[in-house]
Amino acid sequence: MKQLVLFLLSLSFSFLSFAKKLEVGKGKAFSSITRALAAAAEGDTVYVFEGVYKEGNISVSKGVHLIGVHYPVLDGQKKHEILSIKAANTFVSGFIVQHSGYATLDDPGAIKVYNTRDVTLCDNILDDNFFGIYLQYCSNCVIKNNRITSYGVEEQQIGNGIHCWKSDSIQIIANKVTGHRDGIYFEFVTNSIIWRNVTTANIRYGLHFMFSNNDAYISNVFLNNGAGVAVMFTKNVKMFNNTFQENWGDAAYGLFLKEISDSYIFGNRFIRNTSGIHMEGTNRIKVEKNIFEANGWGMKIQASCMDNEIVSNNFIGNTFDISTNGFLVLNTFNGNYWDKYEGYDLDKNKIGDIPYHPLSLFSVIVENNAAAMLLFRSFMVTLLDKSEKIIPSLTPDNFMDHSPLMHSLKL
Amino acid sequence: MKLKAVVTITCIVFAIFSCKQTVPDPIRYNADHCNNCGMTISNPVFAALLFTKKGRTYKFDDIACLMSFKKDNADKAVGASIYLANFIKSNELIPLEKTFLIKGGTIKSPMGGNTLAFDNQASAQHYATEINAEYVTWNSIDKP
Repeated sequence: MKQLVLFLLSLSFSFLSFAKKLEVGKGKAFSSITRALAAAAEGDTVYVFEGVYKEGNISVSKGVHLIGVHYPVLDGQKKHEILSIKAANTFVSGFIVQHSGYATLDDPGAIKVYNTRDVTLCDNILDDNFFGIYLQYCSNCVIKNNRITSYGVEEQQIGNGIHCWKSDSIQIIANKVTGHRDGIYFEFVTNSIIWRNVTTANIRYGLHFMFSNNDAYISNVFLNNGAGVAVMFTKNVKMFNNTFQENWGDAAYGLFLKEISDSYIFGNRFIRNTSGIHMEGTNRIKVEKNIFEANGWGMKIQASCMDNEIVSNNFIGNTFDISTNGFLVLNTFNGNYWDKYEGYDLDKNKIGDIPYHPLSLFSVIVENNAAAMLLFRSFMVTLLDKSEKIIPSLTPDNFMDHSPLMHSLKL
Repeated sequence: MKLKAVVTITCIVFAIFSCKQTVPDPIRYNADHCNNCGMTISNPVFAALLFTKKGRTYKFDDIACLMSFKKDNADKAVGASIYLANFIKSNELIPLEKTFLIKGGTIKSPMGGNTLAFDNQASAQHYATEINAEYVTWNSIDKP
């Protein structure tokens, strides 16, 4: 038995010894990363020591571990795509990657991964690039703990922080993305997860989904972007425990849903946005246990939405809780807490005895005529709103929450 | 004196009511929203706009959005002029009649229109061969 263990141990060590270690840096065996990569074999580890490496485009065509020691700098001098990964099982960690090239058609990225699988990119710092990390036709990749910063401004073209295109089973975990066009962008990406990322101050969206089915984004923070998150032309997306905050501006929103179906929005916080959720052409979505606080509009539900369930949410301190532009009511509201509810609870079951109409007359008027906002909080408008509550005429009378809660939910 | 005042006021009134716009509004990139899909217009290369007879400007992030809008709002499209972004001169919009279009190849536009516009035939052909795209006419892609 002991002999067998020893034999197996020696066998495993002999396997280990196949993987070489190559060192790049001042006074090391290699002075350039490109040369070290040429000498490396599949499965080798290349250690890059500190210094600035301006080697133009570095192409990784073998599955190696590329590890930066004390954060060496890879500089693209605003001309090159810096790191092009074309081999499976590549691992890149501990680099500062900066100043990638800029182009309108072929989207150069600081780190671009082409048509491969099992690539891990972690603990890198990306600064001042056109696109940050770019994946196309990839699967089973992990993008973790990267800090991605750029300095995009209006009227100027800039790429996305993490851009995934036609990929599958991608994990995007704990990255920080700032100053790009979209913080994280998914187009035709399936079975993937976006977890614990923070995207702030991106020009367009914090996170942008297009045609990407069966994905989940959980516990992310979307702060102060042009708009928070846009989920478009998609189905089966799970959105849990995210924070959508401070997305202000004309037509800005915390979460924008367009042509999306069969999804679940649970446990999110929508705080201080122009609109918390804006829905268009959205079907069969459940919105449960979310907090809508201090938004201009809690939810804007366009007439093109149907069979959505809005249950057990807190609506606190929003200017308008709900607004819509149609008369047909095809969505259900149940068991939410509305701080504007003025009903009573005689049977003491903590559920209001009369239904709540979350749609105020004025929100309907503003939806059709934005300039009417000038009259907000005027005496006439308040009077109209009150009379509408008693005798609904302009708002659909069946647009209501039958069991409004008397106390806010502890979420 | 009184007559002068009346004339002045009439002039002002006429000036106000006759101030129909004759040129389309510019597109503010990363600020304006597409009038069809609602996305922020961020790539100047693919932008398009529809300028109606009444002087209203509708902005789009992609030629595909312009077509879809045109189809859904046929009343607005009547007599309207179309402008497309010039690929070789950034932030310039050219009237449709003066464009040369290429489509396909490696072109990836935000909403799948995948079309680029040029103000001269030579550069359209040059880019078409370079990125493996196809030379197209407006009538061939604008199907009713």
